[in-house]
Amino acid sequence: MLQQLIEQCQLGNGFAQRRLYDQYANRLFRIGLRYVRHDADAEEVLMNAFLKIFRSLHGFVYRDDKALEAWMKRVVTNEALQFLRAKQVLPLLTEVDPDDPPVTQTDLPDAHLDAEQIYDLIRQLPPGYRTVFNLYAIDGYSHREIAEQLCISENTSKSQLSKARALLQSWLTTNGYEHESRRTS
Amino acid sequence: MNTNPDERLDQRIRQVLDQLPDAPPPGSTFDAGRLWEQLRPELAAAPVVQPKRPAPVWWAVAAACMGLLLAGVWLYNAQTNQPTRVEAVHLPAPKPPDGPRPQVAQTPESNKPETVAQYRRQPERTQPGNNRIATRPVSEVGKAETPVSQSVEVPVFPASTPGGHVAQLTVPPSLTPLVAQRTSASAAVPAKRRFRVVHENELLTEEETYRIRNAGGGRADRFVRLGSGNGISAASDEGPTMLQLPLQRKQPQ
Repeated sequence: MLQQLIEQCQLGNGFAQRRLYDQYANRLFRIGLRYVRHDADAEEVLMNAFLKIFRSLHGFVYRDDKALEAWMKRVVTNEALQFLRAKQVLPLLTEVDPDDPPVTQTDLPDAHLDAEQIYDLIRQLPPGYRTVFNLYAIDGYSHREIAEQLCISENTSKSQLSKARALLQSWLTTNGYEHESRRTS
Repeated sequence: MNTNPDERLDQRIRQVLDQLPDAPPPGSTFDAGRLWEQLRPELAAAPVVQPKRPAPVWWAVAAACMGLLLAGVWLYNAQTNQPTRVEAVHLPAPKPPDGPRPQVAQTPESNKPETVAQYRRQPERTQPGNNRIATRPVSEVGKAETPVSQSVEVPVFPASTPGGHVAQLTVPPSLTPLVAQRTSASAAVPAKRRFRVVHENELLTEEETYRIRNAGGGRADRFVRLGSGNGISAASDEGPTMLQLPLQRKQPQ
């Protein structure tokens, strides 16, 4: 089904392009919004991403639905990073910030997490933390890939990730989520 | 199994985010239809890039180049396999010898004007007794059974015939070539050396015999004498001039 849709899109069928867009627009919009926070920016990222997807779809070899979705997510991620670089947000990443509180290891929150609330908390992270956390914890990039993408060192990436986790944990605690250790004790 | 609490937090967050509905987040102003209206003109302006296919003209050019290459290879092979040809050329007639002229048989075809014939290079074949050079015409290549093959007989004098192979066949115009049937036996005779080493006494005997036979005075140009000729110095004054090459031993130093 999806393979035929891709084949029609590769032939330039506008109806097929619209169907593919409708199928993935909201999902990809959420991915863009995780990186850029504002709706208008996410729309710009999504539009550029779909333009790139449709223009480069002729070179895509369909294997399965997951591979197609992973490819489209990667295109959106790259467009978001490009947007952030254009907005000069990423150079604000610093390796050591003396004002930051020391990072402490935290326990896993309990299983009853609200997805929308977690999503909002991630969007509220500072740009540097958010970008590294999104790339590493959610989208599965390695620190080496993040360092190459953001033009930072791997230590910077690790530091930003650690701080993002700590901040997210504190917000989860503030929002009423208990740690497993506290709940079981 | 990953026991790192940080990794477990990441994994847990991923699982939670996978449960998100396929819709814009609550409170978002995102409208997919509106964005598509903005996207459609952009897609129409920039058509889908089709994979580049080689134009037919390039196929034609490639085929032409391949044809030229094959033709070149074929011509090169044809020229390489072409046999070496020896052309008969007319040279100025040498001075005929004073001695008895070898008999040359003439055939009716010999009255025809001479033509320059091309011959395939063959190892020289000589008849031991009658001084013939047997050649094979070009028309015989691949047709050994052809009965009309011709051969040219050229009188060869032993003293002036070089040893080894004859690279260029010289036909004096004064001599009418004998056109005769080539026998298969003549082609089968291997070439032999034309010089033999004889003792001085044997040479003297032959020379005396020749002098007696040609008492009228003929040039003894059949012999080449090597070594000192003290023994026949008196006789050589009477006969024709002889070539004498005295041998001198080098003094050991």
